[in-house]
Amino acid sequence: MSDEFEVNQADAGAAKWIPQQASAIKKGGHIMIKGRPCKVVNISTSKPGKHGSAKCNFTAIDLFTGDKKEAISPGHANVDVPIVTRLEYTVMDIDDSGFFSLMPNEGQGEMREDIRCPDDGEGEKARTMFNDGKDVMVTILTAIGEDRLVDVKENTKGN
Amino acid sequence: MDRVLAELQEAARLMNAPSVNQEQRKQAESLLLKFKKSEKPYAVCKSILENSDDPYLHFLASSTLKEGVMREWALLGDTEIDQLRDYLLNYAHSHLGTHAYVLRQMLHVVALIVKRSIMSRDAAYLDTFVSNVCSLFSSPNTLNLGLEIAEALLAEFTVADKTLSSYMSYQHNIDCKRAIEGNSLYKIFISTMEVIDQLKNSPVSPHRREWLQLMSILNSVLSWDFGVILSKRLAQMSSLSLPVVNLMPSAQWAILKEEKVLALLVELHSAFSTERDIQHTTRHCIVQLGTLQGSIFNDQSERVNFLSRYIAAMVKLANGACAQPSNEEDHGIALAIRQLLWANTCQDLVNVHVGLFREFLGAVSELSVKVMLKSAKEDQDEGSTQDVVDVILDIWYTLLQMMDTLPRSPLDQCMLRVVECYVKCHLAPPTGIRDDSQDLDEVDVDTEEDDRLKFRDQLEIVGSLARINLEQTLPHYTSLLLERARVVRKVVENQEECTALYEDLHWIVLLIGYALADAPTDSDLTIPATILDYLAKQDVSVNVESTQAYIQTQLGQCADLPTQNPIIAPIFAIMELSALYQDILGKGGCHALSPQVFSSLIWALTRIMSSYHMPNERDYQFIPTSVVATFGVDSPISGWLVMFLVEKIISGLVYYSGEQSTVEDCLALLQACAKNSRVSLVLMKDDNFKKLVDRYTSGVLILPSSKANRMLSAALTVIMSHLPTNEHQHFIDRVFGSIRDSTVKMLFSPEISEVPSSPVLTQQILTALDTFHGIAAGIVNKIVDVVFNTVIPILEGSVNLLKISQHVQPITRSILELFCAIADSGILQIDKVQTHRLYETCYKVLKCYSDSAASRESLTVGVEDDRYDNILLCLELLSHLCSKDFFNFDEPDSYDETSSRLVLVGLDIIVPHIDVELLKFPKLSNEFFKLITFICEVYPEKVVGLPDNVVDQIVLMLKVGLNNYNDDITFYIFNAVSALSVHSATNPLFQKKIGQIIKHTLLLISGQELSAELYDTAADMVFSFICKCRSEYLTVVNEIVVQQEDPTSQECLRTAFSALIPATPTTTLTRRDKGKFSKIFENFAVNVYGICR
Repeated sequence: MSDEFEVNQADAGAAKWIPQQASAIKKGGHIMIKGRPCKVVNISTSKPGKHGSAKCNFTAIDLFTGDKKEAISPGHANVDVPIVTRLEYTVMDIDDSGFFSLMPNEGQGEMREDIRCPDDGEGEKARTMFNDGKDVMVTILTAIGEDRLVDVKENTKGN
Repeated sequence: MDRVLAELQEAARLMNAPSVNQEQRKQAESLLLKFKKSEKPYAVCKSILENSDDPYLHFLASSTLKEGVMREWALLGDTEIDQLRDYLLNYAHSHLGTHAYVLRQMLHVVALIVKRSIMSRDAAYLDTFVSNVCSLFSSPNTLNLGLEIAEALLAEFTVADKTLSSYMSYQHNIDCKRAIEGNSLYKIFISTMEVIDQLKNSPVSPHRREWLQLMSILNSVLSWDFGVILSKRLAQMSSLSLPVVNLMPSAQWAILKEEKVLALLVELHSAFSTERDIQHTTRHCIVQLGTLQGSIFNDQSERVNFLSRYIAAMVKLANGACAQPSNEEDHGIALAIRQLLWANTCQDLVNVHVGLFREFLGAVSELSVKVMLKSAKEDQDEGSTQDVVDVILDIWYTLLQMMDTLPRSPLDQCMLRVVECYVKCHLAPPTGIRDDSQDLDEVDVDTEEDDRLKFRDQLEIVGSLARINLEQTLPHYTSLLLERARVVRKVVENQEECTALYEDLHWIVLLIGYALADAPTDSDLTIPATILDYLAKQDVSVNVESTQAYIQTQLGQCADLPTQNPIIAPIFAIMELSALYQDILGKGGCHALSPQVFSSLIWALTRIMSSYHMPNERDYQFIPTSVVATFGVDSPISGWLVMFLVEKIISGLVYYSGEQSTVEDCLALLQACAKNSRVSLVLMKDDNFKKLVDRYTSGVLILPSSKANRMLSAALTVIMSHLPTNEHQHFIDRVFGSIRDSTVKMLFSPEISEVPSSPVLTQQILTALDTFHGIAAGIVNKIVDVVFNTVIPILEGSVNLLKISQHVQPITRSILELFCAIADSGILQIDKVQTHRLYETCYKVLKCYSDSAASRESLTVGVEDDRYDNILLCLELLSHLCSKDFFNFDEPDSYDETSSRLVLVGLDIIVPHIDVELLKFPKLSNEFFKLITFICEVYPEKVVGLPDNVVDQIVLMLKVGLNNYNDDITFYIFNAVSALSVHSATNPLFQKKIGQIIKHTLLLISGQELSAELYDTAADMVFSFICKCRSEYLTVVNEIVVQQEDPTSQECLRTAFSALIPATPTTTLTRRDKGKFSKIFENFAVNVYGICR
């Protein structure tokens, strides 16, 4: 994982996560657990005995691997919240080694050529649609320098 | 016949065999179900009873007979019915050893047959039958059978709405009940008593079963509702609120008031001390006898005599219970005493001999103390003794309400004893006896209920009881609190484990909070009348100077309080502990202190300050001098108190920022201050408060939950409303100006597209949305323009935000919640132009949600939950928008058009996102059908005129809703269809669609798949349809009839359906006609049962 941090130059210098008070995290928000960016699917609060201080128990799903993760933090302590972006790109090309050439919407990010078209269902869909000559739009989710293809659709607006 | 029998036997075997595969069991089940519905099943059933030895099959045969005879009643003659009845009786007689559940089912059929026969036979039919049954009591061989039949008859003839037999109409049920009350019930009772007299001298064990039956019959008679029979609607309403029936028989039942019935019951009760189930029933009989009242007593003295005997018996039983460890006995006696007090007025009780009543109170106190001490030693979550404690406290509360009439002494002393015992149970040793062993367990904050809610009823009653002896109780509380407060600092410094200490403090604070203030409704806390009365008589003056000196130099030092006034002193004790807490928090002792105790303190301050601090003279006839001098608007202390409260609120927000509930309690205190205009005005001048506002506006203050954020901005908005009108804008600019400007700027700038990917911006936006949610919720008439103008640009900007952040559920939800908040609290107050602007924005947001929902990312976890939340919010929004025309009286026409159109369009947008799966969430389906019904009832003509595809969608939803969800939904749907039928008279196409729903309902009724409680509403619907769409009704009826294969059934149905059509065509649906039709419809439901196949 750490290698990828070095390779990805696009965000160099920018923070990949920010601190936030644990009790302020909401369901559906994001959190770093054991170095992985996750989406919070459940939060419960408990305390050790009636007169103890509250702790937040997070249940979250790894944004990239889908693994379920759990973490506990005192309510007043800070936890790390990953910066997650979701950008739409137009697929310009898929080269022989399986890498996309992606063009961002105007004013949103830069041209990307470092993302491989995955072999799962979404990737297959993108490949087929592209080979059929369609104008393909993909949505890429990015956090801590990792990327994932989350949606594929045909551009019907014609831009 | 033999083949059928063999098949059924095999099926029954498969149903009960342990190792059978699913498929086989399913087949067997369907065969048995088919048999249950078969035509004329009598011969097969008889053959089963005679030839099979499988009890399960016997039970099935009995049930089948019941279904069959009720279904085919009209087709069977009197002779056939009587033969069947006698056959069952003979069979039962010759097979007494058969399984009890089979026998009961069989006799249940007999009872049903007798009940249904009554009306068509002569008057003596029932009396003869009952006489025959009672004659069975006389021989030991037939006693058992006789008792079983009597039990079955009583069960069948009681009219309890929930168990109402739907094979007969409500009127028939009532008539039968009246018939049995004539003579037969009394005869059964007397015969039963005779048997008891004979049996009571012989040992219990050989007659255990008989005793159970005898007591159960006695119980049925004593629980009989002799009261006036209400109309069906009233009966349905009262059955919800009155679970207990008072015994009010006619003068014929004079025997009940005689000594011997009570004596017998008490004797039996002690005789059955080892038989728990029989004793349970005798106990219930005793409880019921205590409710005896009405015309049976010729004069007051008879009543008092009875009451005195009963009370004497209770004293004996209660004293006996005190010597036993049985929880059930405690519970039973407590229930009997409570029932006695509820059923009798204090005028009756006051006539009971003083000595006896004193003895009674003594016994009740003794029992109370025993029960409470026992509950303290038990795990509180188990709740079995907690139930008894609840009943005990109910008793004391009832006595408290009789306090004006009953002699005060020794009642007040008994109450003091109860309060002292309650306190003792909740304190740790050595003062109390609380068991702390479970307090170290992990507590789930989300599910754990706070004590102040969990024990609310108990604490409220104990609070009222404490006020009766406030000279003793309140100083006691005060000293308990101060004693413990003195230890806190030491404990924190030495870092000792002190859970027991905190638990004590927590409970004492709760007790004081409940004793000093009570709330007639949840929101209006007042100084209790008992306290006002006490202070009116003997007010202990408060020296303002010395108090001022004390608060300036000694508060928080645990010094002696400046006053001995029993009311003011505990308030200072609470303040003392709060000051001490704040001092330790300021010195970094946060982790050593209990957040729970701080929460309780803040809660108690909220409660006390809402009632005592700067009280409004208009709320009270009289305010005592000591309260005015200390907390009145002109007192220097009360001004200082505002500062004091603000400091506590800030401490909570700062030191407990991770404790959601503590922060919310602090903000509830702020809201309470904001509500009081006098406090508000002082508050705004306070420097600390200004700092708090500054911290808030500059975004430095972190609040742990959306709710907290909303509470704070709502409190600030309410504070603003107390200002002169010309200062509102200035206030809003100062407090919310920066967040408003920055949010509007962000919403309308290109930067907004970065919100979904930036946690910082997301958080910022969420906080802003929460703030505006609070502002919207705090809207009141005086500030409506200012608030609306502040919020509307945010709403308009949110539409675009919703589109961009469609994948960020917290934002989506917050936006929809904000719309709901403004629609909920503001819609009735905003003017015409504002309404239009709001409608337009709501339309856009719904449209935008709908567009984005279509493309929601399918990979996200928990999408279903999110969808549920969002759709529910959209429906709530539409419901709130509807309420505009509902309450708008000034210019109905101008709003009507847009509001109805908006709601219809809104539904059109939202409906495609709702599917049958989603409607399985009860809250959602409830909201959805409520809205649809509302629309159909208020704008039926518009619904009728909608485009075809929308109408189809709505009709489909109504049809799906009809038998998939609960009764409430069916109720809504019937109302909706009624309204639509009335307005579809000129639209044959629409009638056709509605006709399908009517058809579906009629089929449901014929299959008895509809709850009997819904018949009235169904009748209204069918009546509207018949009157307004007669030709379509005939078509529907014809469709149902031709589907039947059997010509007799066809004929039967045709007659039943035609009977529904009113003789004189009417198009005006009057209430009277509807009432008449309702009765006809009920008979119809009885007649068509089981005919449609």
